[in-house]
Amino acid sequence: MTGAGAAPSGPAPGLVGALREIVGDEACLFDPVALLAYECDALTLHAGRPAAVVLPRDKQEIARVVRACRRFGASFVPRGAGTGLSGGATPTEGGVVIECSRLDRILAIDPENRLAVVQPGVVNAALSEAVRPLGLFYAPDPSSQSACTIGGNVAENSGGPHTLKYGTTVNHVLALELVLPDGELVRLGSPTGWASGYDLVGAVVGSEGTLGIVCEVTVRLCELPESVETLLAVFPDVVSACRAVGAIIQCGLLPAALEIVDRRTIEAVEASVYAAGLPRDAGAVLLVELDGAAVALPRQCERIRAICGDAGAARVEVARDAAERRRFWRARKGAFGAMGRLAPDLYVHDAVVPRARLPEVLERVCAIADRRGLRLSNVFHAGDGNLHPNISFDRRDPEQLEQVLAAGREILEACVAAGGVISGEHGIGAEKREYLRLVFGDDDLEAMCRLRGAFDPEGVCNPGKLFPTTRFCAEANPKARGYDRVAL
Amino acid sequence: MRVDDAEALRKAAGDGALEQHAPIEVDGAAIEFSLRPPDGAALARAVRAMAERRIGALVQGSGSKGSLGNSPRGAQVLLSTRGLAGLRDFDPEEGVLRAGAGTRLGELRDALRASAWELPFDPPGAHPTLGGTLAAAAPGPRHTGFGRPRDLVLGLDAVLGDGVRARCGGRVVKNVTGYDLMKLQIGAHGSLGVIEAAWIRLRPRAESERTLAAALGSGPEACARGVALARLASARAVALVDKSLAEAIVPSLAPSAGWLLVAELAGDEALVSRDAARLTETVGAAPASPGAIARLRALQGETLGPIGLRFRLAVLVDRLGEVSADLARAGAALLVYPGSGLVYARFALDEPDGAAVDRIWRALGVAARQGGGHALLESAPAWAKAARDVFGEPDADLSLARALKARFDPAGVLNPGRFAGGL
Repeated sequence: MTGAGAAPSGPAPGLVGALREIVGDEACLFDPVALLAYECDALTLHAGRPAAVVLPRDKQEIARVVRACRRFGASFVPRGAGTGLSGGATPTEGGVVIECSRLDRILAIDPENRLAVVQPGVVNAALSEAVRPLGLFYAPDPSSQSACTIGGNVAENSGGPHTLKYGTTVNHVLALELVLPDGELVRLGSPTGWASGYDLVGAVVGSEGTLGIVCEVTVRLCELPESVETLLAVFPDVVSACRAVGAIIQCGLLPAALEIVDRRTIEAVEASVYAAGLPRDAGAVLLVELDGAAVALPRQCERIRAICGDAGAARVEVARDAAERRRFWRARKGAFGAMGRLAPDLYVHDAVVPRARLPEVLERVCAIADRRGLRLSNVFHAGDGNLHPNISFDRRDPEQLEQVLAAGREILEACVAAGGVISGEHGIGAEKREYLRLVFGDDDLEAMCRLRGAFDPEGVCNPGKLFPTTRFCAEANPKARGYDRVAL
Repeated sequence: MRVDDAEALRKAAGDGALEQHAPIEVDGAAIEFSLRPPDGAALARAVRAMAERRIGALVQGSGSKGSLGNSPRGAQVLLSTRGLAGLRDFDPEEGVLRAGAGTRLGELRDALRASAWELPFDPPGAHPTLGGTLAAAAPGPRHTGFGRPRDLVLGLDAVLGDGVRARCGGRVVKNVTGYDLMKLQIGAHGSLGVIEAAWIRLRPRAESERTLAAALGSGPEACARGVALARLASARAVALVDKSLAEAIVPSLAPSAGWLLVAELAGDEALVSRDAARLTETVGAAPASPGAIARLRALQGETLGPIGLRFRLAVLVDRLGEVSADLARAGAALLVYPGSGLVYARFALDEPDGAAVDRIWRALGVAARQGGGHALLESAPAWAKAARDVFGEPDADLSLARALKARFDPAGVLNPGRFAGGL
C-alpha cells in the first residue's frame, strides 16, 4: 500500500502494463506531460502527481483496474470532471487516477416511476436536458452543472441554489452500483427508495470517493414546476438582505432558491461581461425564486415583496419573462467568473451557519478579510445558511497566500462558533481535513472510521482525504499504531 | 441474568435504573430486566458494560414497534430510551428542533402547536418516540408529503455498541462535513447503535388542510389514477384502501367493490382549493372527516384476526396495479400509498397454520420481485417468524452489513439477531 506522500511517485513496476492491458493503450496515461492536467481538481492549491491516469469504458473495466491496483499495491482516486472545490480528486503520489468521464451514458429513463439510471460520467445538466421533454428534471444543480458529473455529485453530495426546496444529491439517489476497494461490484439501495437492510446509499453519497467507485446511479426525477417567479430585491446592505431571508424562512415560505450577492460581488459582476444591470451602489441583492402551482405563486410573491420592503429593500423587481429571469440569475451565476477576473486566483470557501446568524457571521467574515488586507466578496445560498466567501488573490505572493489560508481557518472557526459547520456542499477533501476537529471530537471521528473500515479496511481508496492526517483509523491499519503514517 | 452482571448494569446506569420484573414477552423472548438510563452518559456506560459482559439488550422507546424485526437471540434486558426524553432545543427562526430519543412525538407536536412549524413524522403505534421512529425509519400516512424519515434528520447523537458516544451532522439544514452516519443509524433498528438525540428539520405549518375521499373502482387503472393524484402539489397523505378495510376509514363512502381513495391536502389555501377541485372533477371526491387519516394510521399499524400477519412491501409505483391484484388473490387486505409505492398487506389466519404462512410468504416474495422491490414482514406471531428473515431477500450482499455490524457493535449486544440477515 502506498501511503500519502510516502512513496516515490513512479508507478510500481508492472502496474502500467497491467492497466494498459485492461483499458487499452490510448486510455492509460502515464507520460508526465499528460499527467499534468490531472494533478489537481478545481482547488488548485492542492496537487499531487499520480503514477497513471486510466479512462475505463465500463464498470467491469473499473473493477479490473481496482483489482490491478490492489495487486501492485497502488492506491487509487476516482475522478469525475475535476470540478470539485475541496481537492477530493487530488491524486495521491504514486497512485492511479480512475477517470469516469467515458462512462457517460444515460442507461434508462423511466417517467412512470420518475427515475433514471445513469453512468457516473453523465454531466449533471445533460440529464435534466434529456428528461425535460417528459416534463421532468434532476433537482441537484451545483454551479458547475454544465461540466460536473453525476458520479462526482454522488461523491460530494452536491447541492446548488435549489437545494433549499429540493434537497441535495443524497435526497435524490435511490440506488448505486459501486466497485468496492477490493474490486468487487455491488448494488446498493433500491429503485423504490425503500431499501431493505442498512441505508448504504445514504452512507456512500457524500463519502468523497473513499468508500468505492460509483459506476451506476439510479436517481429520482422531479416534475418541472408548473410556474416560476423570480424576484430581485435591492438592499442598502447585506445585513438587511439577510434579515429578509430570516423573515421569509420564519414565516414558513419555502422558495426554490434564496441567494444573496453582496456589494463587492456586484461591483465585480457589473464591471465584467456578466453585467446584469444591477445598481452599482447597492449594498446587496437578494434573488428569490418561487416555483410550484400557478395559483399559489402570486400571493407568495406579494408576501416576499412585503417582507423585503419591511427589511429595508430599496426596490423589488419581479422578472416579467424568461429573458429577465436569466438576467437576474446572471448576477448570481456570473459571480465566480467575474471574481476570477479580479486576481489570478480565487479561493471559494464553503461553510454553513444557522440562518438567523447570517448577519453577524458575515460581518465577522468581512472583518477577518479586511484585517488581513484581503479582497473578499460574498455570493451565497442564503436560504440554506450556506456561505461562500470568495477571496481573490495571487498565489505567487507567498505572504498573501499565507494570509488567505489563515483567513480561511478564521472564517471556519467563526462559522462553527455560530453553531455551523465547515462544509455545506464542497466537501472536506484534501482542503479541510485538518479542520474537521473544529466540529467533531475524537469519538465522532473514530465512529466515521468504522464506516471507512467496513468498506476499505486498508485505506487504499482515495487516501489522504476527509480524515485528519494523524491519529485516525488506526483500527483500519493496525500496523500504523504509531499513528503518523496512516494512509487515510 | 447473573448477579454480577445486574450489579454492573446498576452501577453503570445509576441506582434505580435497573428493574427486575416478571418475564415480559418480546417477540418470543422472555425478558426479566429493564434498564432505563437517565441520560446519555449513563446510557453510554451501560452499553459499555453490556459489551464487556456480553449482555444482549433489546432497545425500546415506547415499545410500539416491538413486533418489528427478526426474533431476538439471547437478549437479557430491555434497554429503554424513555429516560432520554425531552425537547432540548427549538429554534422557531430556523424551523429546527433537537430532542432526546425517548421523547414521544405527541409531546413534540404539543410543543410546536403554537408555532409556524409542523413535526414531519406520523408513524402508527401508541405513543411512538422520536428514537423509535428514526431507528425503524417508520413512515406514517403523511410520508407522501413529509418524505422519508432519513431525509428529515439534520444531526444525530448515538451510543455505539461498545459505549462510544458519537455525534454526526449538525443543526444546520445543509451539511457535508464528514461522513453521514445518520443514514446508517436511521432504519438500522438499533442494531448499530442506540440513538440518543436528533436534530430534525421541521416543515412549515400548512395554512389550509382538507380531507377528501372517493370510491375509485378496481383494476390497475385505479392504482395508476392513485399514483397521479398522489402527485398533486398539496398532497400530504394519499392512500388507497380495499373494500374490506374501507368501512373502517370512511364508512359513508366505502365502496362495495374496488378501492377507496383517501386524500389529505395541505398548503396554501389557493393550492389546496385547486387540488380539491381536481380530486372532485377527476374521481368525484367528497369531503371526509379529518379523522380518516388517524384511522388510516391506526389501520396501518394493526394486524387482523386471531392470528395476523402484516407485511410492508415497497414496489415501483407503475407496478402497484398488478402487485396489489396478486396480493388480493392471495387473500390480503390492502392499504396502498401510491405516492411512494408502499403497500401494507394484512392476512388473517384462524389457527396457527404453518403451511398457510409458507404459502403467504412465497406469494409475498413473488409480489416483491414483480414489483421491483422487497417485502418486510412487519408483524407476525413468533412461531411464524421462526426460521425466516422477516426482511426478506437482501438488496445487497450481506458482507458489507456484517462488516458494519462488527465495527459498530463489536460484541453483538444491540438488538441481537433482530436486523436483516440476523444481524
